[in-house]
Amino acid sequence: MTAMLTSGIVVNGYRDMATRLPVARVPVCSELVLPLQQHIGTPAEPVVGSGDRVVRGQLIARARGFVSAGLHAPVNAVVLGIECRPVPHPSGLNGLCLVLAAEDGADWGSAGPEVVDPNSIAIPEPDIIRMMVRQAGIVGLGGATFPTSVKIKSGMSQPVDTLIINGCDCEPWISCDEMLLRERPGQVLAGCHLLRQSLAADRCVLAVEDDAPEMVAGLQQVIADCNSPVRLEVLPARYPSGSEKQLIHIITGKEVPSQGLPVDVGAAVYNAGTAAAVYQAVVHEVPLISRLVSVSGPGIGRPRVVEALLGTPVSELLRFCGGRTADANGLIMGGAMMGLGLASDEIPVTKGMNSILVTTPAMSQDAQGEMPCIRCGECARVCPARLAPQQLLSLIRNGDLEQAQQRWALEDCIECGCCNAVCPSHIPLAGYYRYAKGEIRKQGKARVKAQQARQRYEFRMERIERAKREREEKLRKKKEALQAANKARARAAMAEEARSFEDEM
Amino acid sequence: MFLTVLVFALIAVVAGALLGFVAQRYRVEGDPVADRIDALLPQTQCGQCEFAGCRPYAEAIAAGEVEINRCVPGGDAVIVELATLLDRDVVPLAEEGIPPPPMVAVIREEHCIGCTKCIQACPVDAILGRAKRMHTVIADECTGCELCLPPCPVDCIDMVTVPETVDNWHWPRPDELSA
Repeated sequence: MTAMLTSGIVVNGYRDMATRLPVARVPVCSELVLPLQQHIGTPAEPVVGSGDRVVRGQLIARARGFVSAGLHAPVNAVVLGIECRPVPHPSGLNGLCLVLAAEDGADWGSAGPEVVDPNSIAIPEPDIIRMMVRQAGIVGLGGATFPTSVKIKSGMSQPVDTLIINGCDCEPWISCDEMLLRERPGQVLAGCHLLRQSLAADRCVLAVEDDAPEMVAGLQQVIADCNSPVRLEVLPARYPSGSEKQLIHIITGKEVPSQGLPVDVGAAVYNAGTAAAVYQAVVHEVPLISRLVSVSGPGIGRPRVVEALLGTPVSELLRFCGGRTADANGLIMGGAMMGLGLASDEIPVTKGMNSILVTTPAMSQDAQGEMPCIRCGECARVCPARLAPQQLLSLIRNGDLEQAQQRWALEDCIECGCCNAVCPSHIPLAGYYRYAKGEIRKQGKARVKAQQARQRYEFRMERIERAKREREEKLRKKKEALQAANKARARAAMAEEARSFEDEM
Repeated sequence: MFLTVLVFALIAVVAGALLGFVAQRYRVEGDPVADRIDALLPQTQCGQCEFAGCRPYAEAIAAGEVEINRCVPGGDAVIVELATLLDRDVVPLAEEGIPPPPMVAVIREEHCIGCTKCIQACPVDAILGRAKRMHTVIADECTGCELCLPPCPVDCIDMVTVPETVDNWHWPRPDELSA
């Protein structure tokens, strides 16, 4: 029996585009821009200042709080400053970034991508692995950018029986995981061993899709050669098999509960790139300073997967890949289904940037306008999270966000966009869900703020009341004291009078 | 006849005693309706409803003394919520115009003379400072009520809109995007 995704859609992955050329390193460019927020959680806190010299791999911003990740200098450089620069974010707004000027002659270093025998590596204690992963600033490299050390920690507190290494490129056009598994399978397998050790998982599954036959054959060979305990699972290509919860369901048959975590069903999923980064961090003590980015799409001269230093501008990647073609009209970070449109190519490579897609007018079919929902039910059939998309849509359009969230599990939507793809009325359903989730978060924050304001207001009122009471009390006492004194004086005067009267007598 | 009267009198006495006991035993402190209304109000404490804060307005609504359409910062959304809670009709906002975007007060610090008048006016204690020393607004605590503006003798307080950042941005509604 072959496990596979029953919902979702079959899409052309365009896997042959960016996989014809081997992975190449983009040359170091003179200015590197590193956003402080490259992960889910609290932004990193700079530990260097303007004018400081930093060396490759040095910590330049530390993790602040538990859910956070540090940043390291990609090359020997001088810190130019901490500035607001365009960051990879759908809003197109600027964020705080560390700006580095690479020193003359700064390079990638001599060590090239090596071939590893995954069985030969020494495996440290789980806590040491987790600490080294945290110090290396590793986050989920599939695009979600959740700090990996935090994920390991949650896997340590609850038993994990299945460790899944996700080698499915999450979306059409993205090929970075495929090229990693073709060129550096040893690193990924070594990372599997380390992660498996840190979680004490019973078994480890490497999940890949069958639309890259060369990669599958190569992996089978490597796993057989080194007699690895990692089990290779080849899934029929179907979007979105690479999504965390869906992948767990395919591999283990268990469904992660609504709003729950993978550890709740004894599973943990790590991206193949993350596993390779864990290997680099634990065995070679190299922090996360570069990543694979797939540069693809019909609008690029020589599509390929490149290895780029964090902070390299996207424009450098495009130039390295032969530049844009004449009819290129847009840039997307990520894949064709869930990617974010980028306003400029000045945006730097970040930990979560797995792909740059250069589009042409032929690719975009947004010309058709939105038409009324005909309740055909196609969206419900393809929804991999098994939600009721049309119900959610009508609730959101009517502004009943509370109902959408509490009764129809809006938060479980993974925003994969399958509903958009099949909708005959061209309704951007996933766009409505994205909007609604943001609006719910905003309202939640406003409620918290109102609560604080109420407490401060009530405290102030009480304080004013107390001050008034105390003043009155003080006045009353003073008055009493005065009256008592007056009375005493009067009594004394009377006594005096009486005495003088007696004297006269 | 006598027995009937006796039985009913007895029931009345027992029921009365029971009701009296329950009323004492399970007495609810405060006004629960006012609490629920207060929970819906935005807590800016701005006084635009002509009451000295959200709580007094909530109490006045609970007592049936005022309409539910006086909260300017809350806008139509709060009116609809109040109407649902109290089973009243939705009425348009008493003040003309749309509710303003969220604002915070900012003190131009070089002009501040340290008079403490704004500190006394702030309903949520969001201004820090002391006599003859510069004052400053704690932006996270400011509700944008504008009550600190009139007392300032040198007009050094500005209201600014809360800037949009990567943290507070969220996706717009698709149909508003195209419109």
